Amino acid sequence: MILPEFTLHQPKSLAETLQIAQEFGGDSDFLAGGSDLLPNYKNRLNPKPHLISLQHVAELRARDVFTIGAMVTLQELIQRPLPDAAFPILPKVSKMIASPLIRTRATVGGNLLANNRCVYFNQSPFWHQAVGLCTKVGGEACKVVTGQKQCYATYCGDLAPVLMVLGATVLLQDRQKERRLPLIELYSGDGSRPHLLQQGELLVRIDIPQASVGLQVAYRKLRLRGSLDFSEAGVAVAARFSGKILSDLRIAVTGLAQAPLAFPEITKEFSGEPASEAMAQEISSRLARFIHPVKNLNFLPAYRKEMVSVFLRQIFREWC
Amino acid sequence: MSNHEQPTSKSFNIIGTPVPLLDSGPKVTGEAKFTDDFQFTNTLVGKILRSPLPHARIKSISVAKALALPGVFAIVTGKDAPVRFGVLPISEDENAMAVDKVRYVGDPVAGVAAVDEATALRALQLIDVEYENLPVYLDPAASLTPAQEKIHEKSVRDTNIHKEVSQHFGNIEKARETAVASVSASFHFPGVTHAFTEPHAVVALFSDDGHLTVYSATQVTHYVHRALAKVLDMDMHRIRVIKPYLGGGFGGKGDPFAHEIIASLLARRTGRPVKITFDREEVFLTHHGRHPTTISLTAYADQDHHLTGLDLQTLIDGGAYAGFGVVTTYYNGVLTQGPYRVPNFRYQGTRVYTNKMPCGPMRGHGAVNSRYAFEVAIDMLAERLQVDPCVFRRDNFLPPSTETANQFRITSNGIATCLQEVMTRSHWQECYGKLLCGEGIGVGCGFYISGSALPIHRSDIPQSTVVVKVDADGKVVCFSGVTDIGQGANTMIAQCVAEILGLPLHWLRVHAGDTELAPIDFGSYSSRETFMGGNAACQAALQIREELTKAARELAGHPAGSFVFHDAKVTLQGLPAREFSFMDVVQRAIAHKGALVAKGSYESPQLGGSFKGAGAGLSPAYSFGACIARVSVDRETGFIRVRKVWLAHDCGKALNPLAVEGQIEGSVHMGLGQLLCENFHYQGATLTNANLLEYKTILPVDMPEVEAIIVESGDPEGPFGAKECGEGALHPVLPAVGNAIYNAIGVRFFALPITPDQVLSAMAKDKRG
Ligand SMILES: Cc1cc2nc3c(=O)[nH]c(=O)nc-3n(C[C@H](O)[C@H](O)[C@H](O)COP(=O)(O)OP(=O)(O)OC[C@H]3O[C@@H](n4cnc5c(N)ncnc54)[C@H](O)[C@@H]3O)c2cc1C
Ligand code: SF4
Repeated sequence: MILPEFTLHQPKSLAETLQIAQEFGGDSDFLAGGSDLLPNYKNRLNPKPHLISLQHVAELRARDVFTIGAMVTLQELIQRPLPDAAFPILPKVSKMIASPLIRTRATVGGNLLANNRCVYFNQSPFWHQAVGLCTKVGGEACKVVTGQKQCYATYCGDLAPVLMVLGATVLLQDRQKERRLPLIELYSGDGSRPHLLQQGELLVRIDIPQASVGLQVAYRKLRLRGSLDFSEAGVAVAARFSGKILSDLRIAVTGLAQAPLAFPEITKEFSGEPASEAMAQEISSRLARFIHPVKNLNFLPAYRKEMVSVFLRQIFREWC
Repeated sequence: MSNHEQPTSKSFNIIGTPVPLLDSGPKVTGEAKFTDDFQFTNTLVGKILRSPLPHARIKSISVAKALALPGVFAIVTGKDAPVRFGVLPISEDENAMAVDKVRYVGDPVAGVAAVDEATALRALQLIDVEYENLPVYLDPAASLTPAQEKIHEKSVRDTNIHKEVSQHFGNIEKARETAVASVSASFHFPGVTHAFTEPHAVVALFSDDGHLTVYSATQVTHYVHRALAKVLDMDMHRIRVIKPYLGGGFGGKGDPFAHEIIASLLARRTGRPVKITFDREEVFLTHHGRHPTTISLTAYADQDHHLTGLDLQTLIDGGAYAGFGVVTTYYNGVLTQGPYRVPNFRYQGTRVYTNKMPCGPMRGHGAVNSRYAFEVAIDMLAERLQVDPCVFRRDNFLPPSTETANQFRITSNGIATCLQEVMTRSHWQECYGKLLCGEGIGVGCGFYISGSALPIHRSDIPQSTVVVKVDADGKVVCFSGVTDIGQGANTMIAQCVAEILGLPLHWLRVHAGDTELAPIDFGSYSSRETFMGGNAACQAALQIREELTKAARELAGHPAGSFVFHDAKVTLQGLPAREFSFMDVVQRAIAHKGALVAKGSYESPQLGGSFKGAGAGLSPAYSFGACIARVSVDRETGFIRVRKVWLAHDCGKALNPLAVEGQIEGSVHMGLGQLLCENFHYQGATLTNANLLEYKTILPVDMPEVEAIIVESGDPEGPFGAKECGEGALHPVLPAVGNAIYNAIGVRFFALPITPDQVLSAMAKDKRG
């Protein structure tokens, strides 16, 4: 399927970008690597008449140990090793995303803001003609959780949970102002409009606090094949160790709900104890109350949920 | 030379040497032109309007608004081409576009030719079709009973059954009575598809004098040629079909297709070239892949550990059209028995129509699902008899030079060597029954036809004809109808001729896949090209060599001399040794006569019995194979890791070992895909994973190490002893891995694909049970 028609804007600076964004408002989308947006455009899923390319905006390519510009590609996270010495998990996770070819285009910003997924959403116009429209494509109701108006499409990005356990914040900017949010606050929990960016607001960069250096971090994702496939459950865990004693535990998951989820209230209770598989088990059973995947990806919800426990157990087993 | 005299010299120049395929260079550099690469002046873009409904009567189609759109040149609908077609003359039930009703989501309804793709797509939206919904049949079991609305008029009685096959050889009741062990099991296989790289594409153009040329990504130019003539009501001599470089077929481009006819109709209507290239969703909807199938079987063994009987029933979900389905229905049964001696065999096969994408031939056509079922049953029998599954298989192999219960003539047969090879290399004896929990090893065997002995059209045309021409430039040009779909058929033709004429490959050119330049060949399916095209090529080359020998005798002044052709030289045997260059001999041979032209052809010998359906599965030769696989199963996640696959295949003689290894590795890839990942998901009647992200084929990272083992049994009738290797190698892969999974975790899987969630829940059930 060919792309729909649109006007491509190619601003050369941050200021110019924000100005164009303000001008076209809701009639425009930002275009980073396009690896998430353009497949949806080809399927005519909410295409806009104006695309604002971020390709030539140098301010979005900042990169040092604690800062990742929104336009840094996943391939760059893998290939430019120096700044990653502090956070070796970043190249590791990047390698688990999409495929080598896609990673040369895919950006960190685009990854955090990638659209949610659902078998009823990621389809062609022909498919929607045959099967009908759901909430996320302008229809009356959800087809997964029948009878609901709300959308349950799943957030599947892999970087978000990892950056969340690293305590990352995001810097957002529009023509009027700049604001900084903890990464988790970027997500709305609404499958139809999964991000809380305002009209014309740009994600400029991601910052990781220096305090996160020295955290032990692990990430596991559920997918049928060893490449290409999106997460159908992803678990990121970070903690500090002194000997076997664990502190500062953080857990975030993806691929299970409309937004990545974190569990600070639960994890903080496990500080100061020796890490063990039993602890992983205990944490899993506490998390279970908050994890309710719906049947909108390939694997059945029960299996996706079970893998959260399995992944936690496996990570803890490796750590202790 | 008759068909059965083969060049059998043991030392070859180029036969048996690994040579890169002739098309590998052009494909790597981009020089190769695929169908979509052809650009002609004023070409229009063709697009197809498809049915969003699974079963509905068409009440009206209104194209006026779409035709009025600037840039739209023509629109055609079913009434512009009411003549039915289909690959098998016995079941022509397709229209280029729906005439009275649509039968699946994706069924072509209209064709548009426009100035560009965007305009054509817009025009599709402006066509108004008024439908009246009809009862929808999705469950194949529901198609067995009387239908409120038959999907096709011509189905069995008042049901939606397309084809019933009933066969009985020996006496299955006797096998049951004398059995000391028996196994009954039911299996379910969802449909899978070819997932070739290049989408279907066609360019059709009429010359001013009304001659039609069609470039198409097809596996059989001849069948497209016939269908076009029939539906367009044209003489065949007014049509030329060309197959450019092709990006994979695996059976999925073996039928004549609606889009080939639609492009031609639009070209005729507009007087301009019309190109249709499918998007990936259309490729999936056009399908013609492996049939969803339910199989029930009982296998019997006696006290001597002999397989005494197989009682097999299949319910085959054909989707909306017949296609090759009659053949599929037979193959599910008749190709199951080998490589074993099964004296008593009963088969009941039923193929039904449903309102889903039409199914068709796919690598290993018809026999892959029942092969898995039978090989799993054999493992279960061996376990019941407490005998090693390899030993049990070996004790039941057919020997070479024999006949099966249903009168297949078996000639060369390397199955025993195949099994021995994989057992030795995988250290079967040291592993089987001795691995840790979660680790497994398993075995499977298989066999397949080397070309169907019976042509699908009743005619006396040889199955393959090759013309070889040599002129003053010394260039040897081969004209052949074989269809190179990436498997290396052209290279094979060149190798056969080069070997006989003692030339390096660069002396040869092959013109193939063009109905105007090349004589008829029935194309690339049923693993026939090497055996049939190869034999025809050899026959033509031998005649050329005969002519050249006469010329060499004149040059040497040695009227009875015999000559060796090697390294572009022609050398007199014995003393005094005289040697001529190939060019000198050619000059002499064509003097006062002109170019040397010779023609070879191949026709299968008369084979088989005279009972109903005796022709199905008959082949001049059969390939054999054995596979052993090692797997690890993660008992927490259910993930299966295939660690290594040993696959031995008896291809008679590997004309090009590089190509044979490629086919063996490709077979592992495709087999693992069907076994572990690939599946169709539907929302009602609509396929929900019509793309290559959600239709899960095996990716390179997930491929295990493959040890490809070539076994050469030297077929008495194959070119240089060769048989097939493109499809047969696939069969043993699925059961070998399936049996290895059982060996690892003690759970059998009777439904595919075996995904991690299935593994976990099956293990949990097993614990409870
Ligand atoms: C086959 C395939 C497999 C994939 N597998 C994975 C996977 O395993 N894991 C995974 O996480 N993702 C996967 N993806 C999705 C995608 O490739 C990645 O998420 C990628 O990182 C997106 O980045 P991008 O630069 O291409 O984003 P784009 O497609 O350019 O943008 C995505 C969205 O973010 C918005 N956006 C981008 N940058 C900014 C910015 N700076 N400010 C404001 N808005 C912005 C865009 O407007 C758009 O809405 C896959 C994609 C494909 C096609
Ligand atoms: S979750 Fe419901 S509303 Fe959202 S995309 Fe899926 S079917 Fe549509």
